[in-house]
Amino acid sequence: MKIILIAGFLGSGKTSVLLKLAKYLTESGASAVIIENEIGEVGVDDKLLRSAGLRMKEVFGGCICCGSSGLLLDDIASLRGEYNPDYIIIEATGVAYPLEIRCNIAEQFGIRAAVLGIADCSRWARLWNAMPQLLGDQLGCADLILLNKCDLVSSEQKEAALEILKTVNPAAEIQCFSAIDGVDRTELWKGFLV
Amino acid sequence: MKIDMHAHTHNGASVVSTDFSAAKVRGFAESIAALAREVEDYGALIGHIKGYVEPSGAATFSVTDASTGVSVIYNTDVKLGLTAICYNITPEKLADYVLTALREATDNYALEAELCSEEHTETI
Repeated sequence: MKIILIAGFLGSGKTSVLLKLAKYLTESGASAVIIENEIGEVGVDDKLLRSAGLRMKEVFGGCICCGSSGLLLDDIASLRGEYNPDYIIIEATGVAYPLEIRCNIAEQFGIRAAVLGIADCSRWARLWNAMPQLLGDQLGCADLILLNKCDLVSSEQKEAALEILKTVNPAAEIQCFSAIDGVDRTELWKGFLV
Repeated sequence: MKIDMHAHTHNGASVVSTDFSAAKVRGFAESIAALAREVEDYGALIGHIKGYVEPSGAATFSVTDASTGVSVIYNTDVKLGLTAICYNITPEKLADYVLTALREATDNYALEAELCSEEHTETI
């Protein structure tokens, strides 16, 4: 069983990317279940994921990198026992620190979660100016970073965001992306899931 | 009508969320757009504002001329939920704006909120 953690700031497109990735996995014949974490008490993204036919568990009202970390670990154990899936995909809240989550999972299960970082190109400059520490921590441990919403920005904005991302995480592969463009991303997912 | 509205802070963000059933919902998307404008005009930074509408009955559409927008009304026992996560604004102030938006969306200006503030463990 492998674990994928999707991390990134609020509204960056994590759920949209998750839907793309889950579709690829399903079409490739792999089994995947989702753990959806929402910082609010009310689930919103789970409605979208369930309507896509995905099996999932929800953790609401807390963040799985801190207060709800125990619930996350319980859910992973429960899903492994119930479904023994090929993949568990965890969507963290937009305020989560993924390195904490990865460490907790490794300590409990001996599994290194692959981190897929999502950056919002359309708001990058404004968000980086306001909270560089959080964004840096969220994307600094990613194995692959998707610079999302590239279809909404100029090439100058895209290049400026890429330059910063390369300093935040020099080791990660960084790809320009749009979660809604319908482009075939098979090779991208194959490379990430190896 | 009184609804529960959850409000707390997490790592500097104010988080307000609620879900409830309403007799009618009109222009939910417009109400959320107005909420976003209010919050930004206040000087806050929007992290994310998201919601859902789950109607049990039919939605009706109405337009009388091409220059007017289409009005979509969900009638009969509509469940709706909303979460707003914003920075540089207190949870209480954000909850005020959320309540205003929900009053507009449900055509119910008597709607009141019981604010439930919980302690949350934070990373920082």
